[in-house]
Amino acid sequence: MSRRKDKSGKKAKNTPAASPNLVTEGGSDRIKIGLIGCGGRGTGAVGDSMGADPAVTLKGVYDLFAEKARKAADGFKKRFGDRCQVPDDQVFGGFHGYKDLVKCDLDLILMATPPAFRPYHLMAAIQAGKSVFMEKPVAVDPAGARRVIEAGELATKKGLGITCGTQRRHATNYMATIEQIHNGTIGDLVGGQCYWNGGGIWYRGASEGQTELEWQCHNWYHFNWLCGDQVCEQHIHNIDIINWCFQGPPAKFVGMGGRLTRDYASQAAKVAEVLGTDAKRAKLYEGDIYCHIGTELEYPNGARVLSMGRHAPKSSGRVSERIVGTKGHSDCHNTIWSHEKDDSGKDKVLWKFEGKGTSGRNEEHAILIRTLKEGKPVNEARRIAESTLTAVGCRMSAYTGREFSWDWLLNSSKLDLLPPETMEALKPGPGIFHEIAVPGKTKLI
Amino acid sequence: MRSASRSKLTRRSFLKTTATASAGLLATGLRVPGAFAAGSDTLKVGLIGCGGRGTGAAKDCLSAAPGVKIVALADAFADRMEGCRNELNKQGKDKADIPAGNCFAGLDAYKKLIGTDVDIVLMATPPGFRPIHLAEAVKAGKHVFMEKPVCVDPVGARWVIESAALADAKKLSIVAGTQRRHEPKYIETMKRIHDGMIGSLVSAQCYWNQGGLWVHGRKAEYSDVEWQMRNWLYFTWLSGDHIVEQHVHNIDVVNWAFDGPPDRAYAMGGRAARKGEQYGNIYDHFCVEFWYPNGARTISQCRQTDGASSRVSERVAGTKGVSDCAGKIWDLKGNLLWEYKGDYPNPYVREHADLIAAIRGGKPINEGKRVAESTLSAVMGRMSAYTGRELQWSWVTKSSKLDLVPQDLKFGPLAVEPVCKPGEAKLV
Repeated sequence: MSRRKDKSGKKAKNTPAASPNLVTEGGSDRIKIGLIGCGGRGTGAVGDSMGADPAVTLKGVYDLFAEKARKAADGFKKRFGDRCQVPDDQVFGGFHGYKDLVKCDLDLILMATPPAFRPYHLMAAIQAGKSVFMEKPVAVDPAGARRVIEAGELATKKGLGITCGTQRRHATNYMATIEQIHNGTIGDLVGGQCYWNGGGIWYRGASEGQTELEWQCHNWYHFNWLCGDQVCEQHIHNIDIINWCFQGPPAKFVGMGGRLTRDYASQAAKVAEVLGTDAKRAKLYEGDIYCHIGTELEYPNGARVLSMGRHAPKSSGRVSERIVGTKGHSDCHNTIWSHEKDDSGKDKVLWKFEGKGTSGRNEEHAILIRTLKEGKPVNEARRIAESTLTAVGCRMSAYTGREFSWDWLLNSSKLDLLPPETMEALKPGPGIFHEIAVPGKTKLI
Repeated sequence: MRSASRSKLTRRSFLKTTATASAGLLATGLRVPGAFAAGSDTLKVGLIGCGGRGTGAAKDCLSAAPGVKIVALADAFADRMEGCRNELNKQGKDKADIPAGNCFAGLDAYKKLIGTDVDIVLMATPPGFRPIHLAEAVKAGKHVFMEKPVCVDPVGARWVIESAALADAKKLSIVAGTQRRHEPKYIETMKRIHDGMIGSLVSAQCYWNQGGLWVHGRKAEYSDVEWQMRNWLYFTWLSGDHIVEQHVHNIDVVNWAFDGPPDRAYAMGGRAARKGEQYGNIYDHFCVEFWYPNGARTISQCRQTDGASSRVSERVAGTKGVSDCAGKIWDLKGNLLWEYKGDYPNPYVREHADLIAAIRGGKPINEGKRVAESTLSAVMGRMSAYTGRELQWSWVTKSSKLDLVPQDLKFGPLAVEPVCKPGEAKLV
């Protein structure tokens, strides 16, 4: 109720029942946002949101580490001045502080914690009547993806908006190119490729006073239950583009992968020292994600697409997408070529994006705010849940060595790495560790 | 990875010999050995490599045509040679007549066998040895059936290609054990793909995903070299890794569809399940993207993991349709356009029948270069996965110096090379 009043207590203008979250009204055009997850991407998202609409004002922040949330608020204050109005009692920490944040008087919440928590954060926000911008990925397993879909449906019922940080979907050059693909410029789709092959990643040490679980959440990229592995955390961007081309997720997965190059023994030993835990636990601190996963995605029309995700030092990197049709092929972001060659022996260019390309990072916020104002909020929950689940499927196939279908994955898989009772009980203390998956032995559940 | 200098001596002396041999052949117009005017003479066959596949190849050869006889055997290990001899003797004197004096064991057994008066040499040792065996056999004027793969590295591939060229000059036949090339259902399908039934090729996939294979445990009396050779699947210098040893079949089919080898390879792989010492230094999975000269990018997947899903097949997609390469062609809506309805002769026998017919008919066939290229395609995939680097065919064929097989091999100590890791393994 209070949400619909502005600061002076004036009741909001009449709005359609289906869209309670309209935020424009005479004299009170502030768009009050909160931030869940105050790391680099979270603070970046606040900047993007501020850039998307001058009415955006930050009102509350939450991070697992309250101190980090406080520092972020101070930083925003310096950066954005009056557009940052976070009172001390709207700075939250701890594993469950997000519940307090969603109760604040906010229109919109930005989410950028490790993806394991996203389904719960999203549901809490939607239940509290807040629209959401959430970073990708939005889950780490099928149970989480289903929670996101459920929250998305609830959002529709409540007239709330949801967008997500797969910014290519809002980049003008991608949008124009994919439109050409959907209009048949390359004919029927028969194949494709997508890659996120890069070098290594950060490994964060522990600080004095941290518990094992807190450190683990701080160093979240190295644990599957927190990040969903690299294919989910990072490569989802490219997989999402391929799903976009095919207008939906794949029908089948055949993945393989392994862990050869992640050597964190010395850093892990130091973590054990700082945490004061048994040196034997250092092995656990090295993390459990793979360093590479290669998957064949078979789409419902029979087309088979290669997905490759890797972190390997001094290796050939590649981050891109490519789609192949009967009449041509495209890089998905600005050019379409024929299979036929021109006089110089290169594939003929059929179409080229001539406009100004964008990153989509502002637009993914702007479209949410704009459609909320229009009373027809955009809702990307199902789409991003499906793309997240596509990436999760790649990982599950690689981890188990098993082929399976989308239908099984979406409807029957019971994999739930952070079930509600565990989420509810999270508190500073021992970490949660899993064995590194072994194909053929790790069970497909 | 080892960058030994096997080729420096052996290859140089080989080239010198081959040059002399071809010149002599062309100058004197010698009768082609084993060319049979009337087709009634018995073809004498020797087998190098008396394991399961070698023994099988010998039997397949005997089944392929009348008037063929196994007369000599060679293996690095006397026990394997004897086991094979006993097995082949069951075929009867008219098919297997192998005097003790024609039974050779040891690391130089192949030389002794090639020194006999056999017409055809069957080769089924670990592929690391194939280039040197082939060179020796061609030099001696023998026809060859060789199991796939035919090398484990670029130096070996170049050597096989040179031997194949010499065989051409000497009008000798070479057939390789990529038996799909001799299977009517594949041959008929490929004809249609090449005739354009599925349009221009824009995509393809091939797979050899299966469980684990045999392991030969170490015994106290084995030297390092003996153990590695008996357990050869698991050492890259001997087998080339399973992408080469096994998956070459499927890669060869995709090369066939595209009429030649890929331009580039971009690969990943590792040891995810099979990590014990008994598994040497090979990977248990590879996922490779091959680019073909027309721009098509294809998927190659191979895996040896117990308890994982299996898939062994090929698929090619064009602008007008799709094929399994093995008897079926569909349009892009999934309607069956064509289906192979002919015979299904045993392809393992058929490849020998084709060789024997070529010899007897005086019309040599030579698959040496083609199978070397398919083997090298697989090797390129492996090298890309081992190093994490994207590789070009032109570099692999012309510039790579990778030469894994130790020179002057003797039974004795030989350390197992570490498992290759991208970022650490050197690209040689």
